[in-house]
Amino acid sequence: DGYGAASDPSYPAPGPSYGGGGYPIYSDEDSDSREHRRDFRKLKDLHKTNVVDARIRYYKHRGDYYAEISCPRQSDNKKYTWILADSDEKIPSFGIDGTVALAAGLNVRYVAKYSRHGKWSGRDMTNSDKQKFRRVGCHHGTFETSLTV
Amino acid sequence: YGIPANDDPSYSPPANDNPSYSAPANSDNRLYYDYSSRSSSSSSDSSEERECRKLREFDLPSELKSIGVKAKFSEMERRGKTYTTISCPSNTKTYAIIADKSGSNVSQGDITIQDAVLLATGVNIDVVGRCRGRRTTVVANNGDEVKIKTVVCVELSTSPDKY
Repeated sequence: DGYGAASDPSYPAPGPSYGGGGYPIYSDEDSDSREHRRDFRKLKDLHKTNVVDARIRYYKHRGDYYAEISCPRQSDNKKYTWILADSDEKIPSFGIDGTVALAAGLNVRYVAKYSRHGKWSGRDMTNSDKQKFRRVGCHHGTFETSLTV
Repeated sequence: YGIPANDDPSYSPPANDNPSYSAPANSDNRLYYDYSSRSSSSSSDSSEERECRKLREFDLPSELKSIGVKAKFSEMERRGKTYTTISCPSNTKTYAIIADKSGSNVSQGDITIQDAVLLATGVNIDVVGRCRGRRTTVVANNGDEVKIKTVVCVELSTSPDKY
């Protein structure tokens, strides 16, 4: 199912103008280096119409692995961005077939926890059900916040 | 090259007592701590890794206190640095996560919150902050990197009904 193939390409190192647009980053972020060995399988991209690639950073805490999923910004800074994961269902009902919405908002990020056998887990935003997934992506929506930002 | 000790996948930290906190609405097996406690670090022997200093609750104006909710926190590590995930109690409600910043304001309708910055807003959102000494650094909604000491979740009434 693709796990025997070459490993996912890591995101390219940000250039000097990276902070000006796209993903917000910490100014002193050290360059990516391949970890010696991992006890988890990385999240993969969700390939769906109108779904763009998420940016993922991996963390560890007391033997558990976590993934911080974030999205490129929208030019309209009042419109929601959605973090989606692969699913056998369509959640919410107004969503995209084969996806579950994990989170939605401005500056949206979602922290998932590694489960096992290449699957990650976390609660969804519609019913707070625990979801298991291997793929994530971002969708730029049109719903607007009521806040003045 | 030296891989930080906590990046060793075979490393198994010893079991630790959970910090005391009121049970969150969602029990997703993640270790949470609240404002009143900080989790004990199982890697205190590593000079690179530091515990997150606790964030206090942002003091909302009186007209908003009824919709202010305490945030919850969870620590993580990455390449020898410590981070904290800031999240809100319900996975299904809409919140604004607001923190302290002098000279900046956040508004909704007629209400303005002084000396505040919007970190993120939406449903089931997390904010990941980097712990540096006495301060926690986060990327705010406007893209600025800000150092914060207090944070709060504000429950909003609008929930998305379409993409």
